Amino acid sequence: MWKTVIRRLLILIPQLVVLSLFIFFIAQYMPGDALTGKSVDPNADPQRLEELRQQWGFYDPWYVKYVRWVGNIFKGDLGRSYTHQVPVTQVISDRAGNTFWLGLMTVFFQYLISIPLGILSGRYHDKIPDRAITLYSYVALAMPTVVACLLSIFTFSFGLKWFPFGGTISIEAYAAGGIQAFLSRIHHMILPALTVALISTTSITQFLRSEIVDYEQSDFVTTARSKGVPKRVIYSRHIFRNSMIPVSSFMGYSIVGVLTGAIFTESVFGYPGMGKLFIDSVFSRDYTVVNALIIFFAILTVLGTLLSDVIMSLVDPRLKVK
Amino acid sequence: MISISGAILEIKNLVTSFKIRGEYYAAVDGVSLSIHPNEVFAIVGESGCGKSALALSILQLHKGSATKVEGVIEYKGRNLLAMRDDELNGVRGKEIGMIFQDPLTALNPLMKIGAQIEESLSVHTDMNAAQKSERAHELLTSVGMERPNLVYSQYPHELSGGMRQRAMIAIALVCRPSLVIADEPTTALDVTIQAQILDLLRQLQRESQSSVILITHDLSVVAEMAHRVAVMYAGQIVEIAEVGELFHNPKHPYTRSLLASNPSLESTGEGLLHVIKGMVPSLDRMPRQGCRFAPRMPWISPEAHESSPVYHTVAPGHEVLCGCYEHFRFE
Repeated sequence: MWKTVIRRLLILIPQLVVLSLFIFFIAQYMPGDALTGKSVDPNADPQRLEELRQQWGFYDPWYVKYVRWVGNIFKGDLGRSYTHQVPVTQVISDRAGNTFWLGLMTVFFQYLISIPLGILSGRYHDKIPDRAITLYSYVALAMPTVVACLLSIFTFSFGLKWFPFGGTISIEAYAAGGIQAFLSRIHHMILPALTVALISTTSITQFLRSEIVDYEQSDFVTTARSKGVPKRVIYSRHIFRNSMIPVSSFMGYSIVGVLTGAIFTESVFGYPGMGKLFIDSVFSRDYTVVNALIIFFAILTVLGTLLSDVIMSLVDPRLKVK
Repeated sequence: MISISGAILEIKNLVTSFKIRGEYYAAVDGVSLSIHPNEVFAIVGESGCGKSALALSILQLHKGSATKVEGVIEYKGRNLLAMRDDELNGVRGKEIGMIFQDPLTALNPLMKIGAQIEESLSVHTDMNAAQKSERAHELLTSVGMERPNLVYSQYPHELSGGMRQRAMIAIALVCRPSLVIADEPTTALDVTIQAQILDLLRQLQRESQSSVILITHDLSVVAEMAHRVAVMYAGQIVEIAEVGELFHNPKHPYTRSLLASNPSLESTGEGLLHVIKGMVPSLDRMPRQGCRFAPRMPWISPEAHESSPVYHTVAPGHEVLCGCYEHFRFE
């Protein structure tokens, strides 16, 4: 078990090297640079901008830039954000917490919604509840995140005024602090988390449904019936429990999905997390932040899939490595 | 309560039909038979002859809803086919135990063997955990597990095929049923393991005095295990007799062909093994009138068959379907 985990973590290293080269070049070939936007500012002195370009090494050959960047990473220095004028690590760590809590809540809602739906759908497959759930699932799957977020802001923030339009905390609550601040943060997270959860239940629901339908036909269920086990118990003890195993391993992938999805969600909700930071940094050509975030997302992806494998091997006795 | 005939199970005119493209086709077509206490009754036939459909009909264990079971199945005087599902659950596992063909798929991969044995006890008795565990250990020992304590807490994938089938037998016997239905219990096993499992079944049957319905396509299994045997073809019983009688005095052309196609140790290897022409017709193509075996022996003249075949008693307890047996000869 631990061997597998360590091996997977070691494979991560060459993956990151290739990825770092790749994103480095993509970032380099994006038109413009961190100072391009500043040149439209009539107060900016073009000569000063040119000086800064020289000083920050924008004209150095690519290999010098790459080696400098990678070398600094090994020293724990991801560089400075050009826009924010503070170290990248600080820019990211300021926002990582927001994304983490929002992501956690999203995954929580996702499972809270999709597991009952999947069970209902599988238990009564090809009947009316299943048809309704399947219809919902595919509408949700087809719905772009941005559209769903805008619709929910329009309905619940603008129309019903149940939730704030964006941000992480209200000013009054921030000033008050304590439990009020905590509740305000939760209040700000609910709408984005619920919106994303509602449109991302499809894979878990449909997966669980098909597992249940398959298991209903399985031989060990016939054995259980031959023992005189009541139908209700057969579902809970034999079918649902066995179906949950592959679904629980989805957890890792869900986390990855939510993090990458955060790019859209946070931008629409104006929620200052890593997703919004990523989009803002791309638009302001803040390469150091973009590169660091991509590497960060990549590591999270690998860790997420690793988490899936670990969960799977913990819950399925057939995969237990002695 | 045992019926007047002394039979523990009486099947009368059983018709089990499956729905194929909206229409029902009978896989078991008018089968009647009775099982006596302390008897091993074998049902033998080719794949697709309806023997497994018959076995599953007794406890109504068919998968899916596209199955119709009609007729009467009387167990100790009570018609199983007229029971509600919860009444039937009281019979399943407690009165009638089932052993399935493939012990790997028939066991829940995520439940320990001990828990799977104890599940029946939880349903049918009010034993406490310690009593259930004791009974499960007792069963594991009596089915010949070398290390019952270890097996008790193992998962099915940790056992060999033969051990899994032993566990399956333990599950079927845990509530001391009066009737055990074994549906091809040795088909999925290696030949050497087959013999061990058959020995075990025979020994357990003698000890428990329960009746066994043994479904098989293997005539040597029948010869070794059974007291009486029914030969099935195309959903019907074509011949029924005591084992000795059937092997020494087979009458129905299908029985004779089956016996002729079985290799024996005495055969010298000269000459070809007998092959029955054609194959069992699929459900939707099965002839529903006249002698169903007629198309597979075209050299027998049509007049030899009865238009509505009836059973002929050729010896006490030995019955044959259709009069064509008197005119049959190998080609």
